[in-house]
Amino acid sequence: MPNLKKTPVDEEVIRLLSAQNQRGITLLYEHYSPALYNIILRIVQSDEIAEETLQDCFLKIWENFPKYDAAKGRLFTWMVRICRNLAIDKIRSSQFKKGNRTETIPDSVYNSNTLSEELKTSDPGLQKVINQMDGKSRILIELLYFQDYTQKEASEALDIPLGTVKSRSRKAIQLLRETLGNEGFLAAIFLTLFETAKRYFGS
Amino acid sequence: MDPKSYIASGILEQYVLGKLSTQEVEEVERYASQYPEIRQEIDAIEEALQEYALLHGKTPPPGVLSTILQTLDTQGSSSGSGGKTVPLWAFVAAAALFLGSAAGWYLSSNENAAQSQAIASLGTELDRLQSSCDSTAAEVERLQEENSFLSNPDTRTIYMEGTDLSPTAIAAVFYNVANSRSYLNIGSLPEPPTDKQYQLWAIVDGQPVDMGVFEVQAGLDGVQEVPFVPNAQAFAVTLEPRGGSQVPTLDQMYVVGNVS
Repeated sequence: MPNLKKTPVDEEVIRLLSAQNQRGITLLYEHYSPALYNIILRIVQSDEIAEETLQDCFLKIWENFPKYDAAKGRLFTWMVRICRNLAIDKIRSSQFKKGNRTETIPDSVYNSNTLSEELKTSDPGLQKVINQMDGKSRILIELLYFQDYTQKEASEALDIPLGTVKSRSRKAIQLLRETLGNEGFLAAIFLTLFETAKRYFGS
Repeated sequence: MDPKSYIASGILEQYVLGKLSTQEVEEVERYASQYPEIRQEIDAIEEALQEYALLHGKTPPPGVLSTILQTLDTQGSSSGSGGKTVPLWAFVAAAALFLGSAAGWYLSSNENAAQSQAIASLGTELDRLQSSCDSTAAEVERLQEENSFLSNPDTRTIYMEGTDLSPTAIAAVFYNVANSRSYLNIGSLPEPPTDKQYQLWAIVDGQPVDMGVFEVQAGLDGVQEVPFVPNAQAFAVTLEPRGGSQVPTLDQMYVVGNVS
């Protein structure tokens, strides 16, 4: 098994949750709740339901943590899966019908201005990274990652052959890796400096 | 199976995005455990999507975390009946916590008792000081009054000289007709036997008038106010049975002095 890099936060969270320490949930929440909330919100499309689902997700993460296998993948990927499944359960149990979703791709997917606005609160350097990605790649990741479209649904929505969804999304993610890789390096350095400073001066 | 073409097929991205069937997932995980490069590629894809998701974060409404933690707390407290066994260390910790808090309670209640005792004794002390202060103030007032009486120009001092019974004795009456008051200074009268008491008399037109009995004791203030008798020509002190007599016992006269 290759030695995969883990972030210090993940290591601490895994240690705490393995010991059934609730501090692990707090730490998880502090670092990942905005990202997870956004993913849930894109699926359920309602602040109220998203809030409820987010609560359920963290309870499920706590409950199911013994089932998490660090050798199989990142903690975040595992959590996203739990959030996404719960969010889908929520909309299925309510009046949502998945069938008519393919016709209504949110404007934000196509409108790069709206997306840029959404990102205004985050680091401006990293915002640039997202803007560098071409529209098609972004839309594909949006649909597959945030809107929980299946490959088939995405091919219909974007009017591209089913076979190319796979290669397109690979291309899109590779582009993401490239751009994040360049800018992410600097971001990582700053984050490390920040964490070190925090440890020295107390948080 | 060639790992490179497997990676290039784009199936790993779909795996991370959660778009594969259970069968495909099992296949990917099997290859991932066999080929380190596949495992590493999965991690790189995960990292990229994680970064992307973190960039798109939206802060949830406040209060969600506390609701989560509260729910965990209530679940935790009821999990004992839910078939989940409570580990031994939890019992030990709970027992230690209980003993600790019991000891703390005991110590603090002891401390409380000691403190209320201290407060009570301080209260008593305060009362004592207050009454001592009151009596000192009364004494000061009395002495001031006495002083102003004695220094009053209308106050006359009538010395009473010792008789043959006690030639060295001397006493005095301070007599003020203007404001009708009189004081007695016991002077150097000898201490009487316990069954006897000195009695002061005023002589008015040759007749003795009782002015009361008084104590002569070591350490007793020698100056005291006595009843005022108008038109006194002389003052005398006789030794009488305790409680005093109707008429003076003349052979027991100790001091006598004329108002000149």
